Amino acid sequence: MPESGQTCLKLKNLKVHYGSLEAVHDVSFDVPTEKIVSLLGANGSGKSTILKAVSGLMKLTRGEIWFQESRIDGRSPQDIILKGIAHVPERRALFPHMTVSDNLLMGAYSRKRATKKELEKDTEEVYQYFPVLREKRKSLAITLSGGLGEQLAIARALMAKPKLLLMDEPLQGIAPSVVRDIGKLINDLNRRGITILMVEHNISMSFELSDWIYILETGELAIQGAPEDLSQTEYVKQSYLGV
Amino acid sequence: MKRRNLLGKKVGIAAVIVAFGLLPVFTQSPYWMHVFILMWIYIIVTASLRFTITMGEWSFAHVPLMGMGGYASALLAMKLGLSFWVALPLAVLITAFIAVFVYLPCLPTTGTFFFFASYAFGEVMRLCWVRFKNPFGGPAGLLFIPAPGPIRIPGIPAIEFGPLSKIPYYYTVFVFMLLSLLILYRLEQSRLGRIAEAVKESNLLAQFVGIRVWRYKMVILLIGSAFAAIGGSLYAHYTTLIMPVDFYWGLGIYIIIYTVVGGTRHFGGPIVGVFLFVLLRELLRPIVMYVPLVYGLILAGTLVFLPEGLISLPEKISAWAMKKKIAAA
Repeated sequence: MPESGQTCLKLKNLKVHYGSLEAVHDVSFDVPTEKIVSLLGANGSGKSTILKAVSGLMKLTRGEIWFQESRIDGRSPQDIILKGIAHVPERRALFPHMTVSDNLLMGAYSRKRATKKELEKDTEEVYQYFPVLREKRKSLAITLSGGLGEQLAIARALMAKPKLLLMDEPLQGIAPSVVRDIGKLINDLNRRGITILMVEHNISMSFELSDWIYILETGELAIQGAPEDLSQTEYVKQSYLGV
Repeated sequence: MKRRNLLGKKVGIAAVIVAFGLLPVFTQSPYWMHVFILMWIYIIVTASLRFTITMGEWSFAHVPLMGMGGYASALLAMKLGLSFWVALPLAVLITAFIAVFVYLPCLPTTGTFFFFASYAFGEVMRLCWVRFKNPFGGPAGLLFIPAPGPIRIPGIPAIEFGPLSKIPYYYTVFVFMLLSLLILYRLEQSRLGRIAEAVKESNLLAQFVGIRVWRYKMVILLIGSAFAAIGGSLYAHYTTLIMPVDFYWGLGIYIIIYTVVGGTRHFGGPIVGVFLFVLLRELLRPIVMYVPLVYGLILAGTLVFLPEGLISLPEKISAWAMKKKIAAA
């Protein structure tokens, strides 16, 4: 378990089913505040399911999810966003026939009390992070490249003003030259105080970015640790680093 | 340039409204008045169907809900003696209430399943009108539905609705149509319209950003049903007789064809569709048996050559002309 600071997210004995199939079996772990935590594992090991469970899109069969001081399992996705958890789904899910700026506004959907001025200010702030998106603000999301699409997906999540960002394979299918940029962006967001729980297949980048790593195997927690410690274990060397 | 285009568009729309507003000055032919009154009603129903489509689901219960508006309004006037002006808003509320029960079982489904589920529940409603003679009149429907009461404006003689002149009906339905279009347009431009678009683009992603998809789908369907009910009520009090067969599945198909051929992506699409088909039907009266064939050919042709509908034709033509100009240069 990561040592430092307060716990942002706590999962206790999580069990999730897809029909009769058990996708997550008795998983417990913590995500410390203002850290980057990665969930690794083979396809079907339950990583994305855990993210969906945290954001309220999957119902738990058993277990508890705590965000900061409040229990959030059983709450609607809308309530969970209001609490401060935003989810960047896999494959850069965008509203393809909406413009970049409309996609951003949809990200702020949950902030019903925000005034037009506040939204404009936040959009401007997001554009400072993603200057290319400002140039493309009137373009349809469907016309963006993979890297820009990922930037927009992250930018849209930021419009919800999250404290915890759930990122599902943010580096998937992105040109190698852009992977570094996205990695740097994730680091920047974290430095700004956003806790990040990330699911990723890019092992080297996950080890580089993360403060702590959990590895899942067929729905169960197999091993965890700081990246520098984990990379020394036989399990990781054989299964992930091919050494 | 853009501002000039927008101004041109607004002037064009205003000119069309004024032209149709003045139509009875040039012709008071009962035949053409009747054609245009029905056209305005169909525009309300078709535009409201398109409004529901903006969230991505096609409802086949829309025409039966129009019928519900007609039946509710007629029964309120006939059994309780209410004036049309009171019966219409009450019928709208009743239809929206019934629409909740029609769409509740349909909402867990999407796409084709939603379409057929809505058809089934709409048909149940229609079969109730056939089956229950009291109060719906059975297959023969409701006869002698009262016409709207007179409109009294100080300083001018009362405007009476009756069999002698269709002009009061023409203007009443025309005003209802304009107001309905204005409200539907404003709704589409509002936050609700953006949410509808997001839901249409991706149900799942809409949930990711915190939209209560189920709730908004219901709200949009109920608004659409309310406007269908306005169309139904106007139809009932204009024709003074309604039957279950008036709201059969065939009319549902025609309304969908008007919408698709006009163009679903643009607010004006259904208006263009209704204009084309209603006028075409009148022109083809001598060969009425071939009307469905012609409709089918137009539908197929539009789907193949103009998938965004006839409303996109000017845009396509100007793009083609521009291409030619560039090639010539």
